[in-house]
Amino acid sequence: MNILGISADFHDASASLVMNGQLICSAAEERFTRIKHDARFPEQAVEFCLAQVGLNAGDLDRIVFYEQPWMKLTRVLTDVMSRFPRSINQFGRAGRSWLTQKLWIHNRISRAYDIHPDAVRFVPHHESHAAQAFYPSGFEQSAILTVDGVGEWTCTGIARGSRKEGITVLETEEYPNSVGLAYAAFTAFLGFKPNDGECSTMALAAFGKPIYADNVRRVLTPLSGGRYQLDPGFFNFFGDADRLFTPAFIRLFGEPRRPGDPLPFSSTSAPEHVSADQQRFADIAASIQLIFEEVLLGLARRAQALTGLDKLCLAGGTAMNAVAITRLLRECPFDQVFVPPDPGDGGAATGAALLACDEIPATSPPPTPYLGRQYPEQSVVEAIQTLSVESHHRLPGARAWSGRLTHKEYGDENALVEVVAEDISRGSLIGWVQGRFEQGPRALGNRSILADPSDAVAASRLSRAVKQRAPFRPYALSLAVEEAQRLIPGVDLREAARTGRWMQSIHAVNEGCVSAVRQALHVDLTTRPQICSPADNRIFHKLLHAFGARRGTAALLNTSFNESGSPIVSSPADALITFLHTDIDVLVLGMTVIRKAA
Amino acid sequence: MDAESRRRRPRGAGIAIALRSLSRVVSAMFRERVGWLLPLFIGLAVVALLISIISAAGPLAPFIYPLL
Repeated sequence: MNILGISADFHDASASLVMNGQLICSAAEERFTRIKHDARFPEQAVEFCLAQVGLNAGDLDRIVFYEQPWMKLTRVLTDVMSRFPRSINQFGRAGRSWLTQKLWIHNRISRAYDIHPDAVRFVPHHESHAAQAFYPSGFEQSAILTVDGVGEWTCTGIARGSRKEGITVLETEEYPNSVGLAYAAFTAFLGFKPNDGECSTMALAAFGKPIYADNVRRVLTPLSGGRYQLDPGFFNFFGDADRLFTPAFIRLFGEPRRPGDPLPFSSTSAPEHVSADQQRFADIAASIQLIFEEVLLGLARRAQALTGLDKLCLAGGTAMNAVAITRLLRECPFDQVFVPPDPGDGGAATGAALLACDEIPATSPPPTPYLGRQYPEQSVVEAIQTLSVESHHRLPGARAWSGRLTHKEYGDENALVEVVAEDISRGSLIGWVQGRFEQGPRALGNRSILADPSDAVAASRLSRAVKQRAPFRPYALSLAVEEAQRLIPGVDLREAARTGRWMQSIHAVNEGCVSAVRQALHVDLTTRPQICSPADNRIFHKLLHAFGARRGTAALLNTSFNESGSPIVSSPADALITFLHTDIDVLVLGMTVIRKAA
Repeated sequence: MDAESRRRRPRGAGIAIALRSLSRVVSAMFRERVGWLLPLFIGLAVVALLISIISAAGPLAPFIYPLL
C-alpha cells in the first residue's frame, strides 16, 4: 500500500511517502523552491517522493493531509470574532486565504493527483505528531507527548501508542492554552521571528539568570498534576507575528527588543560590555526557558501517570528545544525517550502517512534522517559545466569564479576523507554534500559546513562570512561514536542512540577536551552533539576519524549548509552557488572536491 | 474496473467535494460548540461566491482583482 503524507498551508510544507508501512522518503518543499519555511502546497516534494521510487500519482492508494482544515477554520473564526473589531485586518487576511485556498485543500489534492476524493484523508494535527514519533521509535508501546503552538484546537496532547491498537489520545490542552505559543510570544518579544527564532531564545537563555521566573509564572502557570494555565490577557496570538503579546505583557516585562538590536553575547568569549536592557533580555529568555522546562517536565510526569508506561515519544515543534529535552531526559520518570529527527510540522507529513496505514509492520528498520533526494554524480559535473550559464542569472559573483575553479574526482572514500580532513585541519571551511539530504532542519553530515572545532579563526570566519550568524548562537558538534565516552562524561550510548544521534539533546563536555572542541560549545561548555556511528553515516564517520587522526579528536564543528535566511542546500547547483557566494574554501560534492583557485 | 481506475477522481467531483468541505465546517462548528459562527461563515461563503462569479466574467472584474 502506497501512502503519501502531506503537510502544508502553515509553515514547512512537506511530503512523505510510506510504502507497506515503511517510511521511504520525505522532503520539505523549501529544499526545492529555495524559500525558507515555504508553506505552499509541496508540489515539488511530492514529485520527488514519487520519482524516488518510480511511482505515478495513480499508484497511490491514499493521500493523507496532516490536519483537519475545517476544524482549524472554526478556531480561526472564533479567534477573529472574540477580538472583533481589533482583528479586522487579520480577519481580511485570514478570510482571503481560507476562502480562496485553505478550505478547498481536499479538492486541490484530488484534482492535482487525479485521485478519488475518498482516497484523500485528513487526520488530526496532534495525532500526526504522535504517529511521527511513535511508529519510528521501535517501541512496542509508549506514552506520547505532543507539544506545539497549535494544531486545529489542540496545543498539547497526551496519548498512548501501541503497535497493536494504534494511537489513543488520552488528554489535550486546547487553544489558547498553549505553552508553545507562549514560547513563540516570548521569542517575538525578544526580537526574534516566531516559528523560526525559538532556537535563538534558547541560546540567549544561557547568558541570563531566571530572575523573571515569577513574572513568567504569572502569564504561564505550571499547575500541580502536570497541567498548565496560560493567562490570555497577556497574549495576542492572532496578531501580527511580531506582536504576539499585549500591553499588559509589556507592563510586566518592559519594552520589547527591536529586531536587529545588538546583543553583545558570544558563545565562545566574554562580552566587553552588557547594557542593563541587554541583560534583561537574556534574563527573560532564561526565565521563559526555565518555566517551559518545568511545564514540559510536568506534562511528561502526567503522561507517565496517565499511561503507566516506561517509554516516552515526543514530538511537536517544541521538541526541537534541546535544552528542555535534556532536562526531561534527566528528570522525567521514563526509562527511554525517543525524539524523531524532525519533530515539527514538516515531519508531521510522515506521521499523517503512517497514521493512515492499515497495518504497521511489527518491526521497522532503525529510523534515519537521510530521506531526501540524492543527486547522481553526473549532476555534479553538469552543475560545474552549467555554472557559467545558470548561475550568472542568480549570482553576480559567479562569473568571476566560474573560470577559476578546479575540481578533482576521487576514486575511493578513504582517499577523499584524507584530503578533506587535511583541509579542515589547515583551517579550511568545507561545504560537504553527500547522498540524500536530511529530513528536517538539522544538517547531519550530508548537507553540512564543517570546520575544525578548535579553530577560533575558522569559526569566526564561518559566522561572519558564511552564516551571518549571531555570535551568541553556538555551533553543533559531530563526533564519532567511539569518541563519545571520552568527550562526554557519563554518556549512556544506548540512550544516545535515541536522543544523541540527531542533535536532539545537549551534553557537557569533559573539561580536558574543551579546548579541542571549544568553537562548537556554548558559553556553559555544553554541546548539542551528533553522535555518529558507521551505521548512521559511513563516509561522514570515516571523515571524523580521518580528522581525529590528525588532531587527536574525532569531532568536527558542523552547521547546516546554507546562508542566513536560506534553506539548507539541496542540489549540487544550490551548493555551488552558496560555495561561490560565501567564504567556504572547499566544496565536496559526492566524490568530487572543488576548490577556488588562488 | 481495475484498482487504479477505481482510485481515479470521477468527473464533476469538484462540486461534491466543495459541498463536503462546507458541511465539515458546519458540523465542526457544532462539535466545537461555536454554532453561533454559522451566520458569519454563510456570509463569508456568499461573498466568496459572488467575488468568484463576478471576477470570472463580469464587467466589475477589474475592481475585484485588487481585493484578492
